[in-house]
Amino acid sequence: MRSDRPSSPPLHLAALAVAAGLAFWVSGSLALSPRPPHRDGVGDFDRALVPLRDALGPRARIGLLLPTEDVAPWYLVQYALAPATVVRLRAGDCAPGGPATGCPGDATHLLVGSPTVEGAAAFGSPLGFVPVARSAGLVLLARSAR
Amino acid sequence: MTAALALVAGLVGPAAAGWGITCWLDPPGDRSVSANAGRLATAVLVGIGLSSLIAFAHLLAGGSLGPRYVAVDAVALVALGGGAFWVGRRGPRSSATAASAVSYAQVAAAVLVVIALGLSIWTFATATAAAPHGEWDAWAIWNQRARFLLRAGPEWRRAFAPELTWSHTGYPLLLPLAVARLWCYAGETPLAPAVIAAAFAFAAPVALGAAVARAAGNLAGAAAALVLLATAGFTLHGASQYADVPVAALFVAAVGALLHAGGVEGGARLRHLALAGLLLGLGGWTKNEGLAAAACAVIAYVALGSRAQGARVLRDLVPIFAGAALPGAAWLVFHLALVPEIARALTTRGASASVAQQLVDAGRWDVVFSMLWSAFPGSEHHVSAFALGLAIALGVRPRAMARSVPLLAGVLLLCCDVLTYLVTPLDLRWHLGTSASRVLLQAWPVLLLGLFAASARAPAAAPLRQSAAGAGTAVRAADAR
Repeated sequence: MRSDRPSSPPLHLAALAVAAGLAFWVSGSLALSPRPPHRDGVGDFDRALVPLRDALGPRARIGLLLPTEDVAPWYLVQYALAPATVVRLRAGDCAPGGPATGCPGDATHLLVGSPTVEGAAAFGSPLGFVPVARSAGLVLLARSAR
Repeated sequence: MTAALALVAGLVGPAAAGWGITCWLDPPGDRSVSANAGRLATAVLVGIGLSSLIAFAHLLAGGSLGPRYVAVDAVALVALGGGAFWVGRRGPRSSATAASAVSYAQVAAAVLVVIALGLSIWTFATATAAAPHGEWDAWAIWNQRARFLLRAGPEWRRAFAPELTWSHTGYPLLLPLAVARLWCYAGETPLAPAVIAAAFAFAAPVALGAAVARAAGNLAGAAAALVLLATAGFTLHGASQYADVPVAALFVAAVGALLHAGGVEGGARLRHLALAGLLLGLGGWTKNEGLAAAACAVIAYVALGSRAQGARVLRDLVPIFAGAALPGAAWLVFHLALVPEIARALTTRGASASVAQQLVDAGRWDVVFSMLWSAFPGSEHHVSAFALGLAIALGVRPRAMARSVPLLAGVLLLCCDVLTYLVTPLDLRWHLGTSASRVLLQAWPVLLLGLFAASARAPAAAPLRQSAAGAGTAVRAADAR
């Protein structure tokens, strides 16, 4: 019995088979390639900063002081604490005689990378900030209502 | 589970409105599976894009994003999609294609594409599970902006504060608004940006395959879609939630519409051109590089069209610009009123002497070409060599390639990329190393469209021929007698 279905040239069928083989091979190699253990670093950090975000008002402006020049932690803090704006500070910015553009006078909060609340308080107290929350090795200080 | 259902609800609206608009601009005369799949992919792209424009208009009008925005969004989408559907039904009907016999090979091709799509979705899902917030640019730029737009409420303009310049506040808002809009439906879940990213990543191969199928038959269409699905970087950068994959998806759908417009006349041509313009405009609303892609597509269309049609091709620019008007207006308002950063950048670019110096620096050319070559899409699996071989096997015609709008548009965009890297003020190797592999993806599907659409049509899928009676019924010219 003769089929009324159209046929395709063998070369076209071969091309289709090769294209499918390529797609399956690449997908297979991606699926089977060893992956590092699953760890959602951004998500973990994001969740850890929720208590800090809860302590912030909608118009918070934060000065961030971290013991690193790497920008990644700064960007992650900004991601986690939006819509607060996070401005990075350097250690000397808030010292007496620091640069005029340094320690922001209009900051509502400071966020200090410190292993202890006391250490952060010692830094913030002369500037008029007091600790209000702590998480993930960061201490949040709010401008005191003096 | 509730969040997932809410996400689905948040996607159905734009897709339905996009379907109404797509069917108005590209009426379903050709009812083949590939043509309808292509329409669905285009509908998703158009729907997501327009939903972001609606959200932007709402913000500019003094509104804010939140759970209450869902009602505004739903009403606007119903009005938009319903209006387009109504106008489409009142307008002239597209000629219906008579049902044609489908070969076993075509069925097999469709099955293979579906399997490859499933495997690619699996790869996307595992990559998303490992990094639900996406990679660097996703959380540092796009999703961070979405958080500002949602969390800041009426003070959403804080997203563009000068302190955030490092996060490229001058990048347009299609993705952040699409994500923030979905959060209005489902709450702030990392699933939302992942779903948006997936929509773009998987609309692209479907739109590509459908556009090639229209020009060169279903087997060539399936082969093109399979080659894009075999490009690991496309899926993985899609899962990284980078904007280059959405730009690529919109670019290939737009150039596919341009390609189709070249083969029809009258109102159908105008509508296809308008659809192309809308998609190109949405590409610019996604990322500023999308404007370069749009310019390349228009230049390619005019340059090649003028050879065949003379000055008539210039008239085609009217519907293209009309289609791009809404996203273009949003882009202008964004850059003039909200973030005038781009105007500053254009006027304060380094001295032209230093740019000229960079352009004639042979060492920079060497670095750019060698790093772009190694970062070319699919290079780790030699996908471009496979693509070329497959196109040859499918009967690619050199003369058709020389007249190919998609191929010229893709090559022009690659030239833009080369120039951008040559004059970059950033450290050249760092800039290339951190961006080349994803930036090159923007042109990749369009290059595949140009290559495979220039293939000879298989006898099983020969061109449609208008019936002599002129009753608007098209019949298959081919075939397998």
